[in-house]
Amino acid sequence: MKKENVELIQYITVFLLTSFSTAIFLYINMLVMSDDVPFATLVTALLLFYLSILIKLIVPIIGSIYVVKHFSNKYILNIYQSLKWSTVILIYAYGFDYIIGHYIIKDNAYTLLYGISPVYAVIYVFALIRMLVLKIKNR
Amino acid sequence: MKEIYVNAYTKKDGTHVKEHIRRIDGTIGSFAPVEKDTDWGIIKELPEEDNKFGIMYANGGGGFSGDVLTGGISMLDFDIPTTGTVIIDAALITAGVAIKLAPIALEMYNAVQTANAEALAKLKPQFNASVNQLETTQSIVKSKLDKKLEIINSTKDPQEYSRLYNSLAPEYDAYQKSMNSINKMKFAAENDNYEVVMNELDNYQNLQNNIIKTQPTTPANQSLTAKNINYTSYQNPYTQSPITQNQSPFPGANPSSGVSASFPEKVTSFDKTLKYAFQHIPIEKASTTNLKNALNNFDLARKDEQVILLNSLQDIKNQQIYNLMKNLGVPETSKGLVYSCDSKISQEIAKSNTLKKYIINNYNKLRNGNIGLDQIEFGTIYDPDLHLAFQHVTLLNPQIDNAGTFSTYIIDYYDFNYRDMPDSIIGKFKTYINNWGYKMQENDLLENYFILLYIKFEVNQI
Repeated sequence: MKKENVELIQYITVFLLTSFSTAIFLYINMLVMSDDVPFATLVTALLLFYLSILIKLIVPIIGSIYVVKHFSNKYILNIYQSLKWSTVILIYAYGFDYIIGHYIIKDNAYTLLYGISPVYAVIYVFALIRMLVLKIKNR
Repeated sequence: MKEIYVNAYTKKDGTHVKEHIRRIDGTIGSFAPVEKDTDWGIIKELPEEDNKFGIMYANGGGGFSGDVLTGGISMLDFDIPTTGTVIIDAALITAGVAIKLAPIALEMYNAVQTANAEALAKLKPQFNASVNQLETTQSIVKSKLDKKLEIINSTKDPQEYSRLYNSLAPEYDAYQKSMNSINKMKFAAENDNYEVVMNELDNYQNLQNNIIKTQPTTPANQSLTAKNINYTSYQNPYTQSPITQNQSPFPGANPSSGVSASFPEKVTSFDKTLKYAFQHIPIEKASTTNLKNALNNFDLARKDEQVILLNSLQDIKNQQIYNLMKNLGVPETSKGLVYSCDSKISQEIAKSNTLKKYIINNYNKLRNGNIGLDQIEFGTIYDPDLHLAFQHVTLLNPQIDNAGTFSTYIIDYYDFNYRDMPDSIIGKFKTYINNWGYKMQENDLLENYFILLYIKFEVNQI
């Protein structure tokens, strides 16, 4: 398999795992903790929720630094180089979450639990800062 | 004041009641909804079938009235002594006697087969004593049933009368079948036909077991007191051990049980950080709402128009609900939340898979209004959020009316019990978190409260 394709698969996998980390954590928590102490299950669920928020903040930043330094896939790198493409993806991510959250799953916790937009928002902010820094450097 | 026309009717004892006009003053014995204009909009007191406890709902005014739970209709059927438990109690006693009688009957059968007259003579008094015990129990049942029939006959309301009479009929039927079975046993024993005795004893045991199984734990016409709630069969959701008659089914009602001397521990800064985190968790689910209310001094509930905050159990003026809560172990000083049927949590419960399943399984009983008190458990897979929020809840008077509307009151108490550390790692972790809740509770950083939810929805929505 081409290196670019491997990178694309790696990128999407990490992105989705990070996005769904809350849901994955809560699911594992229900399996492990369920039944006799619902309060303990609830509290660990809430702790894992905060942990997943931390993951959703840290992983995109560290991942983006790694991608910019080591990846050669031009489509992925475009996110960090082109304001147009990164904004288009951001709008797509928010639109996707809005439609699923409001019309399909109809759950106000959808974005927090499963949404892809919070993770991409971090990547977008990282990309904006990087582009700004590069622009200032290139002057 | 309203007037209704009542047709002539004849009571069971032969008393003939002439046709007459009955006046209804909107309180006792009223079936008409009473409208009151208040600051909250038009408040309607539900018809009796919907609302036996005087809880009102607002129509167009947004939420409950401030004077909710104001006593309301005094239900006639709660004043009548228990009918359903008579036959169940008798079945429990006689089933026990029948179990002891079975080996005696077998020995007598063997004695007859082996022509052992001596053994037969020895066993006969034991056998007769047991049969007499069965007969005595049944005669007590008969006298109690007759007494209840007398009380029912004195009921003036024809609708109530027919309902109570219908509920008593199956008990008479069960009594009659039991007596027939005992007579058959006696007759067969007199003729030394112990094979028939054993078969009849088997039938009798099946009959009593069926009575115990098929009768609802608390029929609708039963007074709602602690005696009527089968505590012994209730599994404490926190300890998974059966609790006794003296204990409350709500886990936290006996906070002293099993608490080590070192508790409550002092609250550390880590505990306070956790509390702060949970106070601000941005998820609006039943489980998180309950926890936030407990940690935030009911801030969420105060902002919600569909929820009423009660400062103590005594704020419930309706004696039936008050007594039930007290008997279930809710402390007098406990604060409480009353959720209307339009509140988010009530709607979530109304849409829950567990409640749907309960309605499907008990449809006929619910239509007949046969269930006074019941319990359901929200499952981890089908209703994970409600499992975390409530797990076990008590249903009060669940029923489906003629228009196909399901209604019930759901009662729960939010608190924590201290648990001892188990050996397993996961168990230790669970216990640590549970005890964190207990520690917060004991240091007044987490408030216990009772929850009363009113659920009402069309069954055909399922």
